[in-house]
Amino acid sequence: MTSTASPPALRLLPPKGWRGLARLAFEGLATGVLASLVLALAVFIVAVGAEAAPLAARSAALAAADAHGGMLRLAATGDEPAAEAPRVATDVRIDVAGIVARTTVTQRFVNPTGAWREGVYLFPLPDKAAVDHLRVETAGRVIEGQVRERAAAKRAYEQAKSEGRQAGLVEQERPNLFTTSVARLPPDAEVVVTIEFQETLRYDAGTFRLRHPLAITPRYVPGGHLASSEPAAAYDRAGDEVVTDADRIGAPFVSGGDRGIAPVTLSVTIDAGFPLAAIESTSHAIDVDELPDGRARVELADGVVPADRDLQLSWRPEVGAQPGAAVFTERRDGLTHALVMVLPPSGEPSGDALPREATFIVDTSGSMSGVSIVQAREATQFAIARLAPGDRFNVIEFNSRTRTLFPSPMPVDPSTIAAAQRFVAALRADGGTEMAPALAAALATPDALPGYARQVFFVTDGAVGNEHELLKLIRARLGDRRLYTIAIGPAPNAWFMRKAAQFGRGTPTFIGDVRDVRERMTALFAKLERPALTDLVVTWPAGAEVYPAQLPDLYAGEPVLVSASFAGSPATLSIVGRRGRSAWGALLPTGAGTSSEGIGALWARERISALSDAIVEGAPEDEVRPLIVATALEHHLVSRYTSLVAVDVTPIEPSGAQSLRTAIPGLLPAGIDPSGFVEGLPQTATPAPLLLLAGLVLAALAWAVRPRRRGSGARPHFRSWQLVSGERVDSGNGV
Amino acid sequence: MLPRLLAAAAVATIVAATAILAKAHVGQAALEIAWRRAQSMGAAPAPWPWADTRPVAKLRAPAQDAEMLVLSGASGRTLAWGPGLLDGTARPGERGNAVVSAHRDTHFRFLANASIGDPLVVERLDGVRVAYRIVAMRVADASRLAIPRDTDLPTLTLVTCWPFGAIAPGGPLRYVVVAEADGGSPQRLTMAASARR
Repeated sequence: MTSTASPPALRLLPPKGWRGLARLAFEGLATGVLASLVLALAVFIVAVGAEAAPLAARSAALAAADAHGGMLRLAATGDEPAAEAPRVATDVRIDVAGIVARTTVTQRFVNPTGAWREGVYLFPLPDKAAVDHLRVETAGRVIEGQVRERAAAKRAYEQAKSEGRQAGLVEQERPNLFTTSVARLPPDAEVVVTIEFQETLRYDAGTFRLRHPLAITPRYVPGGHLASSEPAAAYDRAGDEVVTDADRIGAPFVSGGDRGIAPVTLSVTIDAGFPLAAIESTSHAIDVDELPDGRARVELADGVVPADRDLQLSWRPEVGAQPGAAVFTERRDGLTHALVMVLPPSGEPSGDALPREATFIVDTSGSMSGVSIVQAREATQFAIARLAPGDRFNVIEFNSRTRTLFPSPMPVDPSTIAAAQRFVAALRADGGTEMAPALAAALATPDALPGYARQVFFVTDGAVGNEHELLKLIRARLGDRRLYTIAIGPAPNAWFMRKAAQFGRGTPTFIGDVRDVRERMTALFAKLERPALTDLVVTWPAGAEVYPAQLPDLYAGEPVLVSASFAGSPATLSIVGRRGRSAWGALLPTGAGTSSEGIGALWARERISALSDAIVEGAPEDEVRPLIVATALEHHLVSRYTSLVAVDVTPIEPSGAQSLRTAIPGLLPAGIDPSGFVEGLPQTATPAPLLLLAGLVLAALAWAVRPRRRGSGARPHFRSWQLVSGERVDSGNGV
Repeated sequence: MLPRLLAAAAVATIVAATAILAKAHVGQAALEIAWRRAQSMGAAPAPWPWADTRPVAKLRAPAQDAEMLVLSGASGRTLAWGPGLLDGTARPGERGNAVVSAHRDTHFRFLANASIGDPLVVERLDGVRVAYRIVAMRVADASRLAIPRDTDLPTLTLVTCWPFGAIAPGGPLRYVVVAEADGGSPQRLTMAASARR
């Protein structure tokens, strides 16, 4: 059906040449599009299928519950399904002192079944909040949470369990979800759970923000927290019972308590330390009363409200054009715990800033290769471009070796800037990470000319193993400098980046993506160019224990906080600092009569954190540990060595009547510090399978459309399709 | 023209895929040499002059017949050659949590067949051998995953991407396998190890 001895291509065309050609082109294009669609679909199906099938099976067993507003789950027994105990009422009391909020939540539940049931109490905590009191009351019995040393807590739990009493280890495995089991709830009984926790509030652009979870919509999430010491069998049981299962939890009990209208009463007392310009809630109508002592009391205008949305409250202290400082105190056993809070001035920062001596250290080790080095280059170039005439600067690069752009910091002028930009643009990532010599070089520059603010910018992913040594180096050689860490890449060593900035009296900046470079660096530099106060010093009574010992600088947008503990109660404290080129100072009345709850606990947390740092710096753990334990026990804090255990003192039934099912002696609370958790998990799948599949598909396509020699006769079927250009022929080429 | 382009693209992608798998195997062989030398010297040299990592431990899964050298750090570049011990996590065998991450389709493929109770053995550079047993496994979204740094017992946590066998990389899910040291006290383990030597 083709012409015979003719050259290829055009002669092969059917008589109606051009139309045929167009048609052939169209069909070729269509085949291509079809093939790529099929390919995409195949990849999608394979990927989704592989993901969905085993996950669905596992998530049932592995998921963890996430609750809003606190809930009490009744565990399944024999033939009865798990259920949610109706919540009858919630009362919330929040006391704010400066930046510390102490919250007491009292919740009443009922066990609507006619049987002894066991419950798991779940409460979502605001970020960075730590529970220090827990109390469960039911039918005249009281289960009190106590902070004990870990081993003692575990023993108390085990003993109570073996004697058939109620016991529960309070667990805070995920930073923001708190669970405890309350075993053996009597039939039809009312259960009152009181939980107290403390948090440090968010301060953002002159405004303090408080958010309290009230809505009780349960959320279902695949996966969840990780506990490392749970025996596997207990895990699965926990899975059965803690896991939410909408069908089983729902119907039978909802009508009894009608969780949609579980009423909430709420009151917030705010001691802001400053006159308040405004108190606002975007979620609820509120009434504000001013108390004679300057505090403000906030109540819900409607009195009792349904628990259908979270409470959001914000207030703005009136600071004025100068920075302001306030002190809050808590007195206990002859000791005074004090918190000094310094706030930046309201409005635009003003005052003349000092010229800067900026040193940029850029990590060009092998771990920075790929997108990381691109981010590092962009961030550094951006920062260099923002330097002002009058500033001085230098750039240091390190991998296995350290390379310095200028022998000593050079004044900013067009030629030095151009040289630096060229230097940075040429940086490539390869080799080892010898960080110490670079840090030493940056911190060893000769004394700056007076009147310069010396800033070191450390651009790295922090992929080092000798963090402790580096932190010691920073502490020892910092002098009057400030060290700002700029964390690069998708998985930086966040712990090191934060600690290095803290030891360097600066702040960390995290850049996860190239697109964030500009925004994050702009924010950092806008802040650094105009510090509101530097070189802050508070005069404390003799013998005061102060954290942090050395105050950071005050920048627009974030307060400076310092906690101390001392004997006696002085009437005033004095604070001094520098504001640009001039001096600044204030006398703070300690308000001898008032006492703010939570200030002592805040100090204790700072102390524990400082003691933990001492271990990092090489102090023997055996010596530091008793100090941490004593502080934690005294202030009722959960720490790396202590945990909260809730034990009932009264046996209710002869031992062995029923085992504790959900109270798993799991991982003890990892503490309140978010740095207690590993951050920055890397991506752990290679593109190899995808590439292989794509390669095979491409090969198949190439085979399908390969040019054929005329007259070979190898695949007449194919040739006819090419030549006839008529009916669609299924090519069957295995896409 | 089109067939040639397609063929070239096919060859390129298949070579790229093979290179990834080959790197994972060849890297381990090169590391093995560095490891032996390190053991005789007592300190790990960089396995190749421009390397930004060094072997820190040997991980063995007897039940799955898998053995591999673990590198320091878990950057993408390191993981191409072997599993990485996350910076800032505990040293294997000591109190705390040692977190090791690797690719699901190369070094940690064996985790697909691991189950609770399986043994894992970590040999450190100093010759100390720590025996672990798998106590928990779960799937979690990486953004919601909270892996504690502090644990009472020496703990080994292996993290890889989930699901195994998926084609496309970059999913949000992680497979977490938690193993605890057999017999508790690391001191005892240390002593046992030095007695063996």
